[in-house]
Amino acid sequence: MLISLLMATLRQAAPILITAIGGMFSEVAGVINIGLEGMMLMGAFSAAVVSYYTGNAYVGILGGMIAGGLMAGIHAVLSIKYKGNQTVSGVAINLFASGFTVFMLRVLFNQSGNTPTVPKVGTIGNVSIIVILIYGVAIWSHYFLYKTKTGLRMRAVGEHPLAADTVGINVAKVRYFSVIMSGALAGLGGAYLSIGALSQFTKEMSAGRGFIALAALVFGKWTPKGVLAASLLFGFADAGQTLIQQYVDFIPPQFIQMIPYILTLLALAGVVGKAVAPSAAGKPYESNH
Amino acid sequence: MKNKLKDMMIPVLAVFIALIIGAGIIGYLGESPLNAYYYLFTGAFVGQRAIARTLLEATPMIFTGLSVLFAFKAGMFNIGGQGQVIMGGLIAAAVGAFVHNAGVNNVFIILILSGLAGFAWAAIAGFLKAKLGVHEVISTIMLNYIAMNFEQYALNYPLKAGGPSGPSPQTPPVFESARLMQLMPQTREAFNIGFILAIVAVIVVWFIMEKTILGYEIKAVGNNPTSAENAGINVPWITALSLGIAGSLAALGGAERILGGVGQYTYRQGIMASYGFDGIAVALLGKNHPVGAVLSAILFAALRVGGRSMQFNTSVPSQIVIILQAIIILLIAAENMFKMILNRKKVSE
Amino acid sequence: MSEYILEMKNIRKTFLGGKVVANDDITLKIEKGEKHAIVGENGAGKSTLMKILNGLYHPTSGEVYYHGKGVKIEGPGEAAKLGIGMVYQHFMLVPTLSVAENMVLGVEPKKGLSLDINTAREEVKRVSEKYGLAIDPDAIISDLSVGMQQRVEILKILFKGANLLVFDEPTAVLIPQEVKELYKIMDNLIAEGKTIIFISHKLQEVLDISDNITVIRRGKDVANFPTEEATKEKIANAMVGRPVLFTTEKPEVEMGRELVSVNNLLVKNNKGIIAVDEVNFDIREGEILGIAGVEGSGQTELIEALTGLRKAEAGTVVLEGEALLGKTPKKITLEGVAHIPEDRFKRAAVSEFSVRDNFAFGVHKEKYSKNKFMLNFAKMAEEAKHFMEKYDVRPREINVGFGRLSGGNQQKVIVARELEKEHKFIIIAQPTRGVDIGAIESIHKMVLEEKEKGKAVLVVSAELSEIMNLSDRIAVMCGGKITGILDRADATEEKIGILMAGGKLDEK
Repeated sequence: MLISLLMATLRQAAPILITAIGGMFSEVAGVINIGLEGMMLMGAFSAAVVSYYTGNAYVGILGGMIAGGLMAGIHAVLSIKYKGNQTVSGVAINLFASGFTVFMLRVLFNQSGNTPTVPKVGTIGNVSIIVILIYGVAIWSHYFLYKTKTGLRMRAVGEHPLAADTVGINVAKVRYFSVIMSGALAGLGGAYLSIGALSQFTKEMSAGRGFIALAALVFGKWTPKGVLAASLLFGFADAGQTLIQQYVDFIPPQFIQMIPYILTLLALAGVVGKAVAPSAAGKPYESNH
Repeated sequence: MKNKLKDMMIPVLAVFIALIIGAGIIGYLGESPLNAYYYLFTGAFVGQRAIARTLLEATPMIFTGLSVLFAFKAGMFNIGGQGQVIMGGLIAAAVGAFVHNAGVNNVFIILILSGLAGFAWAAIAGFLKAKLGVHEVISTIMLNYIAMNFEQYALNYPLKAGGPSGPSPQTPPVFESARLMQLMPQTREAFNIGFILAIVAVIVVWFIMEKTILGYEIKAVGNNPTSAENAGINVPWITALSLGIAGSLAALGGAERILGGVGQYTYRQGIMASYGFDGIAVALLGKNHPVGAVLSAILFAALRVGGRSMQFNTSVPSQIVIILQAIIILLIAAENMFKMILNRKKVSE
Repeated sequence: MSEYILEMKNIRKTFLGGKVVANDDITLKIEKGEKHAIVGENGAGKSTLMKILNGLYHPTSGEVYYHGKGVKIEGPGEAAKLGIGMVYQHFMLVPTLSVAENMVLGVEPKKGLSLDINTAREEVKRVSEKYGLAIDPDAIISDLSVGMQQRVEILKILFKGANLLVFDEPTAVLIPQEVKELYKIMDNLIAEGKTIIFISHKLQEVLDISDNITVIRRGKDVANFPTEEATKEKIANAMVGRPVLFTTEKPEVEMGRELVSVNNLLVKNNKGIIAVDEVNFDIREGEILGIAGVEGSGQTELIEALTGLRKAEAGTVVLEGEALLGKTPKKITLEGVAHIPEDRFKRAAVSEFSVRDNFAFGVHKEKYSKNKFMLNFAKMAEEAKHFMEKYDVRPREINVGFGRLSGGNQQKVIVARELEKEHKFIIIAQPTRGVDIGAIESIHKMVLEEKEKGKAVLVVSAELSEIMNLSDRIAVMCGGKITGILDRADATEEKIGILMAGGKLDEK
């Protein structure tokens, strides 16, 4: 029973984890990304659609990541090139993804709730390949951020972009890379939801996970290890929910479903003051040359 | 003066561009954009019924738009409008449909109670920000999801018409004494005095901001909390208060949905749609000015109402309206892009 | 031509399509192996000129010759390749990264796909040994002292092969000991064959260490002479374009009874470390007490405690019998304390508000309320107009946005507002920071007028000359303690320097 709880935790944590890792890359480089939810949703939708039309779920994964990356690209252009308000841009992306996915559901499948069943990604043991991929990427992200040249530059650009500029680093280029990567990873998280855990896309299926990922990012203090821990915690809350519901049936299910969000609020209230965001996060950088 | 004109140009331009992009999408779907937009426009503005529908749909958006705007002035981003709307609506339904005491169960008291509910809900985030520095964007988003879950609970258990085993997840209708007076009853749309209340709210918000000490202090805190603190202003208090007031404004929008009769005076699934989030679009498009908020709310309402007519008369799905809305916001976010393009003649370097 | 390592000829730099002329036909010639000082007021154009040299800006017209060859410096990367390195006033170091990481940022050594941090460490050791500047490659920047951070900045550009080093206000943030060390480092670098340009507004420093001086005023190079021919007056005249007074006439004022008394004040900073360590002093009516000390010695926390912005852990502050500690900032203001903060834009004003609204800021409820909720805008406007006349704030437009005023006029608005408050005690932090030499006089006059009116005045400043000019007594802070209080007559820069570094004076 413990094993099944553990497995459920890993499964529930996976989409949150990879999206949060994506958010981490973006914010460490100095660009706030509230649009993770929308990128995840687009990823879920695109993965399902591509899987449907190609008959191949693995190409679907790619489709999901590309869709997420494209959405992030829009966010990147607005935030970096046009120095727009990053929160507003993120909110707009979420709105767009919401409307677009439902719109396309109609246009492509003449449905209002979900796509038909689509090819699903395989499993190893009982675990979806995407989950394995996700944890692999999460572990790699630590190495990437702290032991590579690009990771170093990302961290520099998020703390003191002017300093990076004066040593010849192209701040915009680094930020574009980080933001698009965050979208691709969120898209991967979405792909898990539609063609990893299930085999179809349902309306609004990201269900706020993009925001839980944001919370995991803050809770995890913008480090890969922290984000992993936070995601597992939230995944546990999610997984435990169904278990709790089995045993404690006098608590209405809706309250159980609230747990991750309440936990997040409590975590924020307790953690803040010690969690320090990258200094330049949210501030557009103006280069004069 | 010149700057103000330029400022107003941008929202107009954004809407215009969005409409063009929309036309492109419609064309791609094989429909005639002109035809589609014809139905969009007439469905929203032509005839008494259309106008009633549009203004009715605009009413909650004016409230939520004011809510976001108010919080902006204090330097905060109120994404929690949806949760606040829900709380306001639930209180309205709870008191209006279940309380028998005539002293309590009347429109005025219920509106006040709804406002208080919204205030309290937002004040949680306000308190977290003021005392613990928690960023209101994340906390209000979490509160939204908690409220949404609570809404489901309420509609299925305590507030359910007929009890937990009742036929559908909705409340009973509110008593007569709790209902908002209808305007244009001949149209048989639930266009009600809530719209007038919304306009009154606009004036009140404007008055507070421009004429009172509170407005002065809120703007100071929104612009520079450090200076405000130095000047003896109680920044945590103003922060929490502003977010609370923003919450109560949104909640009134929720109350209108119940007491105004759009859902047969019941609180039913989906009645709060996405008004909380629409408020963000409204405030942004309206350039954070109360009058702009009214105009934007009417615009977005028109899109939604007209969109249904468009879907009915052509085969263009009404969801395209949401896409238009998103494009508009994206363009507003790219405001600087416009400024750069308009200023291209002045480039040096 | 070949004895000049650098020639910037007829440099012109404009912004906003020609509307703003930052550099107007400037010609600068630097000899190899010299220490060349560039002096000028804020906004004169010296920073712009150096940014052009460093590739951060491109000149609108004009040429740059390095070692006799014409060059186009596209960006900091090219500047570095040429051998030009800049040590910025606000360090270009990423605080969360280590010394080694900062050193190799932009030119990172690689081992396969990874960053080769070991090679980076070796490089840091190599350069630091070569120039005798010891540093720990793994230290995190935010843990280092200011002097050490500057050392990393210097090593950074030496690492990239700089031969021409440009220092922007290098001693602005250093204590006297660190300043002496920097001068030594500069001499060593010259001995190693480097050339140094430094920007400074400290005239004494310029006279002490430079070989040649170029003065820039309003975008033009107005004077250039060897240091042996220079005097403070000559330099200042060139900077401002007219004769400048260096000491202000101090009025003879009878100092009255004790007004402010601070005893055993203990204050902690944001990190929970003691920032004000059992400080004692008092100020009499008509007395100016100056607090000298390098930034970060506790002055900021001291002022915050006095104005109610920060809780004190222990001690008392008494103003004419009233205890101030524990009261809210508002109550303290009402007790008669006025406060001109150090960073007017960040702490004292609302940039979006009009000038009219900023004059009222802080006393809006007390002076300008019409019944309990509303503001009397007519009264605000009337008084604002009156203040603008009295304090000569330009332009005389009460409805213009505060952010549009020049720095000097902004300061005047803040000063006016505070002086007009009913007060017995006024606290002034960095009164002339960011204010041009010409305006310094008038602000110092205002401070001295407070003395004449019998107020107790506390002035905190990082500018020693300003403290010595204005104060009746000088208290020196170091590491949260007051290391000594000197009468003006006894105070010399040396004594203050010793106290600033935490040392003790032999007498007393």
